[in-house]
Amino acid sequence: MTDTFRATAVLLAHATAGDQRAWDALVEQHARLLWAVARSYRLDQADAADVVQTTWLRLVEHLDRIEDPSRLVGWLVTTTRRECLRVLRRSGRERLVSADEGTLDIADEAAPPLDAGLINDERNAELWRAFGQLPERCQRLLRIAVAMPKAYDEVSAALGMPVGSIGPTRARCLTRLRALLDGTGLAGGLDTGARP
Amino acid sequence: MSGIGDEELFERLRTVVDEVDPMPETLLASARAAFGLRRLDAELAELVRDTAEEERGGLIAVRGEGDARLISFETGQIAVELQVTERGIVRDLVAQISGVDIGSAEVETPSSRYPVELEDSVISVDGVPAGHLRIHVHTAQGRDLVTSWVRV
Repeated sequence: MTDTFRATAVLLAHATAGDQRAWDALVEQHARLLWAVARSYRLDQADAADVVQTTWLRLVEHLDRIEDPSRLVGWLVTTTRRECLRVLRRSGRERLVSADEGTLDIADEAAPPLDAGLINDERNAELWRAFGQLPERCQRLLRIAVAMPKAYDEVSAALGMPVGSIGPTRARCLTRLRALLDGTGLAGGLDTGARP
Repeated sequence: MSGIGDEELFERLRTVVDEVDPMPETLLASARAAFGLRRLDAELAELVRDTAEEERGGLIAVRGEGDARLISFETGQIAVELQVTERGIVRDLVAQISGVDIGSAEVETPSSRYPVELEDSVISVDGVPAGHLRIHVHTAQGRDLVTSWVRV
């Protein structure tokens, strides 16, 4: 059991016993990850917020039924993902998922991307535009990975990705991202030391 | 750019994501408040079926406004069949509750409660705002029962 899981186990036990502060800490530990999961399915902000809230309401209901704290993060991600797919189905946005892409649950590629114009730093805007050109799978994985650099195995299992594949996949996606940036002609600005 | 390492690129991406699409703070507040909706005294009827989750023949069933969505909950011998009809930003609800005698019932949202009409084993209420809700049943035998939360 890692320290993270031990801490989660203590929080879970206290929350189950009725401690609001322990609950708040659990929320703070996982909220960004769940937000990233919902947004990685290209739900808009309102839908993503509702989906994440559904997950927390579900956890409140099931607090005393989670026996293994190490599975909490997987449970949260699975619940969020399932609710995302439900929203996409309801809105008719989910495309058919072919058998060999069964882990992808492809979301709508036509969903409007976030406006890179919102970013002041041109280098960061360029990075965001390059990110938007990555394959769906890479976008989702990186989006979730930056929200939670640890607990990869639990998260990847919950997302239907083979455990152990996430590290190599992350590396491949970063390589593709770098290649996209190199192709923009602005890569020089991103490169050497010219940091604010 | 070729000179930048994976970890630096990854960190830079994290910065950009935090800048472009930060988690709304209101989400933290509502997640914390969710704890106050815990009902230790009530039996939970779990969500067992939702037509919104089902596909037909491999094709996605796209429903139009006015089509009813059916959501089923169960615990032991008790079953709740909830029919949800969309009407703009509100929902009309009819629920058949079997396996128990209903004393009273209400529909709960995270922020309020809605009285229902009760006729035999069927409860109904119109005009509940779209969003999260659950059904709370107080049985004639004095037990409390809540359904799992659903977003409608």
